[in-house]
Amino acid sequence: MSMRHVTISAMMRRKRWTLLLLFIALLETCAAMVLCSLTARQEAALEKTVDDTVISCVITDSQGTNQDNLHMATGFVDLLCGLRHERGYYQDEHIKNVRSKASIKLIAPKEYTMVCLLTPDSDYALTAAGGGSMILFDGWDASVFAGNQEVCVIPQGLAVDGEYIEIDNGNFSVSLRIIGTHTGSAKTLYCPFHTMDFHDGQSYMITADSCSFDIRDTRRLDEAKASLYEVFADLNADDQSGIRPAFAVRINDDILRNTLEEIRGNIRTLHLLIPALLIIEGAVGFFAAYLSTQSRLREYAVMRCLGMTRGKIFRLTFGEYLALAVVGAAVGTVIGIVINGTLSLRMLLYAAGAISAFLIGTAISVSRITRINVMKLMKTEE
Amino acid sequence: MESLLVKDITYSYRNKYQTVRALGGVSVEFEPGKMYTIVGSSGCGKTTFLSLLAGLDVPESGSIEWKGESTAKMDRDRYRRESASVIYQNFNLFQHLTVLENAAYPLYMRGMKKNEAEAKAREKLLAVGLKEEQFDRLPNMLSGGEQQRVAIARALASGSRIILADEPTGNLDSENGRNIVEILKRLAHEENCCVVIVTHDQAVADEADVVLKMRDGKLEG
Ligand SMILES: Nc1ncnc2c1ncn2[C@@H]1O[C@H](COP(=O)(O)OP(=O)(O)OP(=O)(O)O)[C@@H](O)[C@H]1O
Ligand SMILES: [Mg+2]
Repeated sequence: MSMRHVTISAMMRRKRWTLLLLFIALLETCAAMVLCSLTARQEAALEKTVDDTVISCVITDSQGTNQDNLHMATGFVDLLCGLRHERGYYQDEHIKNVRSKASIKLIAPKEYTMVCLLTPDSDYALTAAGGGSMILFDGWDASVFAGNQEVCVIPQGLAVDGEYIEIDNGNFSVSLRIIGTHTGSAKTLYCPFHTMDFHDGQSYMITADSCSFDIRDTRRLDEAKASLYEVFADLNADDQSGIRPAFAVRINDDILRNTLEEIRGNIRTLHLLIPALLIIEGAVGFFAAYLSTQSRLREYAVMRCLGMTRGKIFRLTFGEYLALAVVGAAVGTVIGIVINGTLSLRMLLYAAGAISAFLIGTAISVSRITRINVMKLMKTEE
Repeated sequence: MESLLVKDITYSYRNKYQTVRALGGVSVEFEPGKMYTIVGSSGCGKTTFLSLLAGLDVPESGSIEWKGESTAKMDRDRYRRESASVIYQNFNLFQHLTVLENAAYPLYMRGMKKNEAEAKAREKLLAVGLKEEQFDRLPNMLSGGEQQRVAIARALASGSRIILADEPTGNLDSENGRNIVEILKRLAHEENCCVVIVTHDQAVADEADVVLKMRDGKLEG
């Protein structure tokens, strides 16, 4: 007990070394915590990117050149919407926001085109970018397009709520309730995609002009892709021989892939820095303790002369570094929390790792000092 | 018989490239109650001999026995803690401990309570002629002679029966040197210690009960 007391007094009197070692322990703790929070930030960025990115996909012809005039059987769209489950799966497990458009030339009203939409933004002409917009009368909303009601939206100024319009394409005629107006191209009627599916119990062959959709869960992109490529051709595949599906799908994941690759690269680098940092911190601990113990060689020689055992010298000296490390690490942790603005269990583990590396370094130095040759040392003059 | 018995010891310094023989067959018996000095030219092996007596290493051949037990076989750390104290020409003290703490150090090592240890150290410091107001100073605030006395007080506090001193007066003027020798002599005669002093100083040698002359790693005469 009294031994510890005088050891502490002596430490206080060796101000410079004590402060230097304290400062080193503090810096090492802070450095590890900063590294930890940098890593955590990159990992959070990765998650956020994955969560925030919408990957859109477009159906094209098998060459990938045409995407606006596909003449694609609506069965494909149904498949994508999950309305059918041939092949034993629902595509909509993997995708969402399916947009599709099918147009039918009408003979009445004359020169009009009936455009069937899955969602209002399935037609470029109706999006903000395309310059048009749609206003539905009270009591209606965009979800009506997902169904198969016999309703339609006609160019602005032609009708009021509650009226019906008679349409005819030569094969069928039907009376559609007008539920709104639009500012898109004149001579176009918009109706829900499935309005014509089974009119009068009869299926009219309608083909889709275009179709696009989004990947439902970016984290399961690979599964979604595999599932899509069972039905549609892969435009990026090297092997373009063999039987090709009539339509291909273009999956716009390049930007996401590049961003993720970049962030993952950063994370890999940061992970590599951990062992590097620990090694450096151990080495710094070793050299700091080495210089500090070398400056006190004579004192260790005196201790040995007074009959102190090697084990006791180790415990006493290492105890000094341990105390400094604990105080330095405590202050360093507080500063680390202030610098990083957060605290996590992981940061504490990093700090503990740093201080352990420091202590291992000092322990090696201290164990060397216990092996001094007193006989040789006592002879060297000051 | 309680004595320090040296039987035909040899010792060499070795490194990778060469071996230097420092002692070549030394035999002598040191008895308690007497003050011995060892004189001899530089490099003849005096410091080496004293270090072996202190149990800092063991002889290559031959033996050093204290109370019939060989230093080669005993716990030499304990031997230095309890039986043998060395005083060097310089750097004997812990520079960051006070005079009192330095003198009490062997007692702290034994686990004695701080105030108890310091009471005893105080007594020994006064015995070697240091003054109370110097007790709380650091060693570099003392003269060389005073520092040497602190080292002696520490040896006294440890209760060692063997006091080994390597040129204890080497850095001191003759007045201070005489004082130190006086104290060591009193230790031998009054405390029944076994005191061995290595010296170049004829005045010191003159005070001794027995003078041993060393030459080329051997004792003469
Ligand atoms: N560490 C060492 N390595 C190799 N040789 C050494 C070492 N220390 C001493 N010697 C040699 O051993 C011999 C005895 O040395 P020692 O120090 O015992 O002499 P000394 O009598 O104390 O001399 P001085 O009066 O100068 O102090 C010398 O020849 C010296 O060169
Ligand atoms: Mg010498």
